[in-house]
Amino acid sequence: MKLTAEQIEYVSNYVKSFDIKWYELQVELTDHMVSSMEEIWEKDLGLTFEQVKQNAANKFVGDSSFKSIQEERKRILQKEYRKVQWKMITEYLKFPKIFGSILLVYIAYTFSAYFVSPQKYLAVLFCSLLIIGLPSQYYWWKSKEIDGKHFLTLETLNPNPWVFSFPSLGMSITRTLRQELLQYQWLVLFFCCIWVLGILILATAIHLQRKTIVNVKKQYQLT
Amino acid sequence: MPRNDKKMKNSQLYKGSLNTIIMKLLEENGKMYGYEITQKVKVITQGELNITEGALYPALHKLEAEGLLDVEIEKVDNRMRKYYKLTESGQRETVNRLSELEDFIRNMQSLVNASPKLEF
Repeated sequence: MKLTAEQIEYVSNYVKSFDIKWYELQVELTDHMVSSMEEIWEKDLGLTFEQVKQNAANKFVGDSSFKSIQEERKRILQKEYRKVQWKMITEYLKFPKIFGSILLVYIAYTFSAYFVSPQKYLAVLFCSLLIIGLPSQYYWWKSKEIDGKHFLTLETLNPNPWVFSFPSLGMSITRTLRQELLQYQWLVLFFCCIWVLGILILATAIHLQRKTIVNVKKQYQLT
Repeated sequence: MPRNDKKMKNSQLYKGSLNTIIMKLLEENGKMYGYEITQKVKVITQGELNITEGALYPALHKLEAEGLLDVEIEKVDNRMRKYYKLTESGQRETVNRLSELEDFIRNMQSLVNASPKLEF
Protein backbone atom coordinates (compact mmCIF):
# COMPACT_ATOMS: atom_id res chain seq x y z
CA MET A 1 0.00 0.00 0.00
CA LYS A 2 1.36 3.40 -1.01
CA LEU A 3 2.00 6.00 1.69
CA THR A 4 0.37 9.43 1.37
CA ALA A 5 2.39 12.65 1.06
CA GLU A 6 1.63 13.46 4.72
CA GLN A 7 2.79 10.04 5.90
CA ILE A 8 6.01 10.39 3.87
CA GLU A 9 6.57 13.80 5.43
CA TYR A 10 6.12 12.20 8.86
CA VAL A 11 8.70 9.50 8.02
CA SER A 12 11.10 12.13 6.70
CA ASN A 13 10.83 14.08 9.96
CA TYR A 14 11.30 10.83 11.89
CA VAL A 15 14.60 10.21 10.02
CA LYS A 16 15.70 13.82 10.64
CA SER A 17 14.94 13.42 14.36
CA PHE A 18 18.00 11.12 14.57
CA ASP A 19 20.17 14.16 13.79
CA ILE A 20 20.48 13.27 10.11
CA LYS A 21 21.50 16.71 8.91
CA TRP A 22 22.49 16.04 5.33
CA TYR A 23 20.04 16.15 2.44
CA GLU A 24 21.53 13.24 0.45
CA LEU A 25 21.08 10.95 3.49
CA GLN A 26 17.63 12.30 4.35
CA VAL A 27 16.46 11.47 0.82
CA GLU A 28 18.03 8.02 0.78
CA LEU A 29 17.00 6.87 4.25
CA THR A 30 13.46 8.26 3.96
CA ASP A 31 12.98 6.42 0.67
CA HIS A 32 14.36 3.21 2.19
CA MET A 33 12.03 3.49 5.19
CA VAL A 34 9.00 4.30 3.02
CA SER A 35 9.71 1.47 0.52
CA SER A 36 10.10 -0.96 3.42
CA MET A 37 6.89 0.31 5.10
CA GLU A 38 4.90 -0.03 1.88
CA GLU A 39 6.03 -3.62 1.50
CA ILE A 40 5.28 -4.51 5.13
CA TRP A 41 1.83 -2.94 4.83
CA GLU A 42 1.15 -4.76 1.56
CA LYS A 43 1.73 -8.07 3.34
CA ASP A 44 -0.38 -7.22 6.40
CA LEU A 45 -3.10 -4.64 5.86
CA GLY A 46 -4.26 -5.03 9.46
CA LEU A 47 -1.23 -3.18 10.85
CA THR A 48 -1.46 0.47 11.88
CA PHE A 49 0.80 3.16 10.38
CA GLU A 50 2.76 3.37 13.64
CA GLN A 51 3.31 -0.42 13.75
CA VAL A 52 4.48 -0.45 10.13
CA LYS A 53 6.83 2.45 10.81
CA GLN A 54 8.26 0.68 13.87
CA ASN A 55 8.78 -2.59 11.93
CA ALA A 56 10.69 -0.73 9.23
CA ALA A 57 12.68 1.28 11.80
CA ASN A 58 13.73 -1.91 13.62
CA LYS A 59 16.14 -2.64 10.75
CA PHE A 60 18.06 0.53 11.52
CA VAL A 61 19.73 -0.54 14.75
CA GLY A 62 23.33 -1.05 15.84
CA ASP A 63 25.75 -0.78 12.92
CA SER A 64 22.78 -0.06 10.67
CA SER A 65 21.46 2.87 12.71
CA PHE A 66 20.82 6.13 10.85
CA LYS A 67 23.60 7.81 12.80
CA SER A 68 26.12 5.03 12.06
CA ILE A 69 25.37 5.25 8.34
CA GLN A 70 25.88 9.03 8.50
CA GLU A 71 29.17 8.70 10.40
CA GLU A 72 30.42 6.04 8.01
CA ARG A 73 29.58 8.22 4.99
CA LYS A 74 31.48 11.10 6.57
CA ARG A 75 34.54 8.88 7.09
CA ILE A 76 34.39 7.49 3.54
CA LEU A 77 34.04 10.94 1.94
CA GLN A 78 36.92 12.40 3.96
CA LYS A 79 39.18 9.47 3.11
CA GLU A 80 38.35 9.56 -0.62
CA TYR A 81 38.67 13.35 -0.76
CA ARG A 82 42.15 13.20 0.79
CA LYS A 83 43.11 10.42 -1.64
CA VAL A 84 41.93 12.34 -4.72
CA GLN A 85 43.54 15.59 -3.53
CA TRP A 86 46.86 13.93 -2.78
CA LYS A 87 46.83 12.27 -6.20
CA MET A 88 46.35 15.70 -7.81
CA ILE A 89 49.16 17.22 -5.72
CA THR A 90 51.61 14.46 -6.66
CA GLU A 91 50.99 15.31 -10.33
CA TYR A 92 52.77 18.62 -9.60
CA LEU A 93 55.72 16.75 -8.14
CA LYS A 94 56.20 14.73 -11.33
CA PHE A 95 57.42 15.58 -14.84
CA PRO A 96 56.37 17.89 -16.57
CA LYS A 97 54.33 19.81 -13.95
CA ILE A 98 57.20 19.70 -11.46
CA PHE A 99 58.84 22.50 -13.47
CA GLY A 100 55.97 24.78 -12.48
CA SER A 101 56.46 23.86 -8.83
CA ILE A 102 60.22 24.44 -9.05
CA LEU A 103 59.61 27.83 -10.67
CA LEU A 104 57.33 28.83 -7.78
CA VAL A 105 59.95 27.75 -5.23
CA TYR A 106 62.57 29.75 -7.14
CA ILE A 107 60.39 32.89 -7.21
CA ALA A 108 59.59 32.58 -3.50
CA TYR A 109 63.27 32.05 -2.66
CA THR A 110 64.39 34.99 -4.85
CA PHE A 111 62.00 37.31 -3.03
CA SER A 112 63.61 36.40 0.29
CA ALA A 113 66.62 38.51 -0.79
CA TYR A 114 64.47 41.63 -0.47
CA PHE A 115 63.93 41.02 3.24
CA VAL A 116 66.61 41.67 5.85
CA SER A 117 65.05 39.25 8.29
CA PRO A 118 64.30 35.74 6.92
CA GLN A 119 61.95 35.27 9.88
CA LYS A 120 59.78 38.19 8.75
CA TYR A 121 59.88 37.02 5.14
CA LEU A 122 58.61 33.54 6.02
CA ALA A 123 55.89 35.00 8.23
CA VAL A 124 54.71 37.13 5.27
CA LEU A 125 54.97 34.13 2.94
CA PHE A 126 52.82 31.89 5.13
CA CYS A 127 50.30 34.66 5.82
CA SER A 128 49.93 35.10 2.05
CA LEU A 129 48.40 31.59 2.01
CA LEU A 130 45.64 32.91 4.22
CA ILE A 131 44.92 35.67 1.69
CA ILE A 132 45.01 33.19 -1.21
CA GLY A 133 42.79 30.77 0.72
CA LEU A 134 40.13 33.24 1.86
CA PRO A 135 38.24 33.37 -1.48
CA SER A 136 38.04 29.56 -1.45
CA GLN A 137 36.78 29.69 2.14
CA TYR A 138 34.14 32.23 1.13
CA TYR A 139 33.11 30.20 -1.92
CA TRP A 140 32.73 27.07 0.21
CA TRP A 141 30.71 28.95 2.83
CA LYS A 142 28.47 30.41 0.10
CA SER A 143 27.92 27.06 -1.66
CA LYS A 144 27.61 24.67 1.26
CA GLU A 145 23.89 25.30 1.26
CA ILE A 146 22.06 24.92 -2.06
CA ASP A 147 18.34 25.78 -2.12
CA GLY A 148 18.32 25.53 1.69
CA LYS A 149 19.72 21.99 1.58
CA HIS A 150 22.94 20.92 3.23
CA PHE A 151 25.15 18.23 1.70
CA LEU A 152 27.75 16.17 3.51
CA THR A 153 29.64 15.92 0.22
CA LEU A 154 30.10 19.70 0.26
CA GLU A 155 30.79 19.91 3.99
CA THR A 156 33.76 17.54 3.51
CA LEU A 157 35.36 20.05 1.13
CA ASN A 158 35.73 22.68 3.84
CA PRO A 159 39.18 24.27 3.25
CA ASN A 160 38.99 25.92 6.69
CA PRO A 161 41.52 23.65 8.49
CA TRP A 162 44.18 24.31 5.84
CA VAL A 163 43.52 28.01 5.28
CA PHE A 164 43.72 28.96 8.96
CA SER A 165 46.50 26.59 9.93
CA PHE A 166 49.05 28.01 7.46
CA PRO A 167 49.66 31.41 9.15
CA SER A 168 49.93 29.86 12.63
CA LEU A 169 52.28 27.20 11.24
CA GLY A 170 54.45 29.91 9.68
CA MET A 171 54.52 31.97 12.87
CA SER A 172 55.41 29.07 15.12
CA ILE A 173 58.14 27.79 12.77
CA THR A 174 59.81 31.15 12.38
CA ARG A 175 59.62 31.84 16.12
CA THR A 176 61.18 28.50 16.99
CA LEU A 177 63.89 28.64 14.33
CA ARG A 178 64.75 32.35 14.59
CA GLN A 179 68.51 31.82 15.09
CA GLU A 180 68.79 28.88 12.69
CA LEU A 181 67.13 30.86 9.89
CA LEU A 182 69.84 33.53 10.17
CA GLN A 183 72.59 30.91 10.09
CA TYR A 184 71.36 28.46 7.46
CA GLN A 185 70.07 29.81 4.17
CA TRP A 186 68.91 26.34 3.07
CA LEU A 187 66.22 26.49 5.77
CA VAL A 188 64.60 29.42 3.92
CA LEU A 189 64.66 27.38 0.73
CA PHE A 190 63.10 24.45 2.59
CA PHE A 191 60.23 26.61 3.85
CA CYS A 192 59.74 28.02 0.35
CA CYS A 193 59.12 24.39 -0.72
CA ILE A 194 56.59 23.99 2.13
CA TRP A 195 54.91 27.20 0.96
CA VAL A 196 54.58 25.80 -2.57
CA LEU A 197 53.05 22.66 -1.08
CA GLY A 198 50.56 24.93 0.68
CA ILE A 199 49.74 26.62 -2.65
CA LEU A 200 49.17 23.19 -4.22
CA ILE A 201 46.89 22.12 -1.34
CA LEU A 202 44.77 25.28 -1.75
CA ALA A 203 44.69 25.14 -5.56
CA THR A 204 43.61 21.49 -5.62
CA ALA A 205 41.05 22.15 -2.86
CA ILE A 206 39.52 25.00 -4.92
CA HIS A 207 39.45 22.81 -8.05
CA LEU A 208 37.79 19.87 -6.26
CA GLN A 209 35.34 22.22 -4.56
CA ARG A 210 34.12 23.69 -7.84
CA LYS A 211 33.94 20.31 -9.55
CA THR A 212 31.92 18.77 -6.69
CA ILE A 213 29.48 21.69 -6.43
CA VAL A 214 28.72 21.43 -10.17
CA ASN A 215 28.26 17.66 -9.80
CA VAL A 216 25.94 17.91 -6.78
CA LYS A 217 23.81 20.57 -8.50
CA LYS A 218 23.53 18.35 -11.59
CA GLN A 219 22.70 15.18 -9.62
CA TYR A 220 20.07 16.81 -7.41
CA GLN A 221 18.75 19.14 -10.16
CA LEU A 222 19.42 22.26 -8.10
CA THR A 223 20.27 25.77 -9.28
CA MET B 1 10.95 -18.81 6.34
CA PRO B 2 14.44 -18.87 4.89
CA ARG B 3 16.47 -21.90 5.81
CA ASN B 4 19.40 -19.97 7.10
CA ASP B 5 19.17 -16.17 7.12
CA LYS B 6 22.72 -14.94 6.69
CA LYS B 7 23.16 -11.35 7.77
CA MET B 8 25.85 -9.72 5.69
CA LYS B 9 27.43 -8.06 8.70
CA ASN B 10 28.13 -11.43 10.30
CA SER B 11 29.79 -13.01 7.36
CA GLN B 12 33.26 -11.92 6.32
CA LEU B 13 33.04 -14.19 3.27
CA TYR B 14 30.05 -12.30 1.87
CA LYS B 15 31.26 -8.91 3.06
CA GLY B 16 34.38 -9.15 0.92
CA SER B 17 32.22 -9.65 -2.17
CA LEU B 18 29.51 -7.07 -1.40
CA ASN B 19 30.88 -4.39 -3.73
CA THR B 20 31.13 -6.89 -6.59
CA ILE B 21 27.57 -8.11 -5.91
CA ILE B 22 26.28 -4.50 -6.07
CA MET B 23 28.22 -3.75 -9.24
CA LYS B 24 27.00 -6.94 -10.90
CA LEU B 25 23.36 -6.07 -10.07
CA LEU B 26 23.80 -2.55 -11.44
CA GLU B 27 25.41 -3.93 -14.58
CA GLU B 28 22.36 -6.13 -15.15
CA ASN B 29 19.65 -3.66 -14.12
CA GLY B 30 21.04 -0.29 -15.26
CA LYS B 31 20.06 1.80 -12.25
CA MET B 32 18.82 0.75 -8.82
CA TYR B 33 18.03 2.30 -5.43
CA GLY B 34 19.18 1.03 -2.04
CA TYR B 35 16.05 -0.82 -0.94
CA GLU B 36 15.70 -2.40 -4.38
CA ILE B 37 19.22 -3.85 -4.12
CA THR B 38 18.50 -5.51 -0.75
CA GLN B 39 15.26 -7.00 -2.10
CA LYS B 40 16.87 -8.19 -5.34
CA VAL B 41 19.62 -10.01 -3.43
CA LYS B 42 16.98 -11.61 -1.20
CA VAL B 43 15.01 -12.82 -4.22
CA ILE B 44 18.05 -14.14 -6.13
CA THR B 45 19.37 -16.02 -3.10
CA GLN B 46 15.85 -17.16 -2.14
CA GLY B 47 16.09 -15.39 1.20
CA GLU B 48 19.44 -16.95 2.11
CA LEU B 49 21.31 -13.67 2.03
CA ASN B 50 20.15 -10.51 3.75
CA ILE B 51 22.19 -7.36 3.15
CA THR B 52 21.89 -5.10 6.18
CA GLU B 53 21.44 -1.36 5.71
CA GLY B 54 24.65 -0.80 7.68
CA ALA B 55 26.61 -2.80 5.10
CA LEU B 56 24.77 -1.67 1.96
CA TYR B 57 24.94 2.11 2.27
CA PRO B 58 28.62 2.42 3.22
CA ALA B 59 29.41 0.11 0.27
CA LEU B 60 27.32 2.26 -2.12
CA HIS B 61 28.81 5.48 -0.74
CA LYS B 62 32.35 4.14 -1.09
CA LEU B 63 31.79 3.07 -4.70
CA GLU B 64 30.24 6.49 -5.40
CA ALA B 65 33.17 8.34 -3.79
CA GLU B 66 35.61 6.23 -5.83
CA GLY B 67 33.85 7.37 -9.00
CA LEU B 68 32.62 3.87 -9.88
CA LEU B 69 28.96 4.81 -9.35
CA ASP B 70 26.99 7.86 -10.37
CA VAL B 71 23.86 9.15 -8.69
CA GLU B 72 20.54 10.21 -10.20
CA ILE B 73 17.65 11.72 -8.25
CA GLU B 74 14.06 11.20 -9.35
CA LYS B 75 10.70 12.02 -7.84
CA VAL B 76 8.76 8.79 -7.32
CA ASP B 77 5.44 8.45 -5.44
CA ASN B 78 5.63 11.76 -3.54
CA ARG B 79 9.26 11.34 -2.51
CA MET B 80 12.76 11.76 -3.87
CA ARG B 81 14.63 8.60 -4.77
CA LYS B 82 18.38 8.24 -5.14
CA TYR B 83 19.32 5.85 -7.94
CA TYR B 84 22.80 4.44 -8.44
CA LYS B 85 24.26 3.48 -11.80
CA LEU B 86 27.69 2.42 -13.00
CA THR B 87 30.00 5.04 -14.50
CA GLU B 88 32.21 4.14 -17.45
CA SER B 89 35.10 3.29 -15.14
CA GLY B 90 32.60 1.40 -12.95
CA GLN B 91 31.63 -0.76 -15.92
CA ARG B 92 35.27 -1.61 -16.63
CA GLU B 93 35.90 -2.30 -12.94
CA THR B 94 32.87 -4.62 -12.77
CA VAL B 95 34.35 -6.82 -15.49
CA ASN B 96 37.67 -7.00 -13.60
CA ARG B 97 36.09 -7.69 -10.22
CA LEU B 98 33.74 -10.35 -11.58
CA SER B 99 36.63 -12.10 -13.24
CA GLU B 100 38.57 -11.96 -9.95
CA LEU B 101 35.57 -13.31 -8.05
CA GLU B 102 35.08 -16.14 -10.54
CA ASP B 103 38.75 -17.11 -10.21
CA PHE B 104 38.39 -17.02 -6.43
CA ILE B 105 35.28 -19.24 -6.49
CA ARG B 106 36.98 -21.70 -8.89
CA ASN B 107 40.07 -21.92 -6.71
CA MET B 108 38.03 -22.33 -3.55
CA GLN B 109 35.98 -25.08 -5.16
CA SER B 110 39.16 -26.87 -6.21
CA LEU B 111 40.55 -26.56 -2.69
CA VAL B 112 37.35 -27.59 -0.90
CA ASN B 113 36.64 -30.52 -3.24
CA ALA B 114 40.23 -31.72 -3.53
CA SER B 115 40.65 -35.34 -2.48
CA PRO B 116 43.69 -35.97 -0.32
CA LYS B 117 46.72 -36.94 -2.36
CA LEU B 118 48.15 -40.28 -1.40
CA GLU B 119 51.87 -40.45 -1.50
CA PHE B 120 53.87 -43.65 -1.15
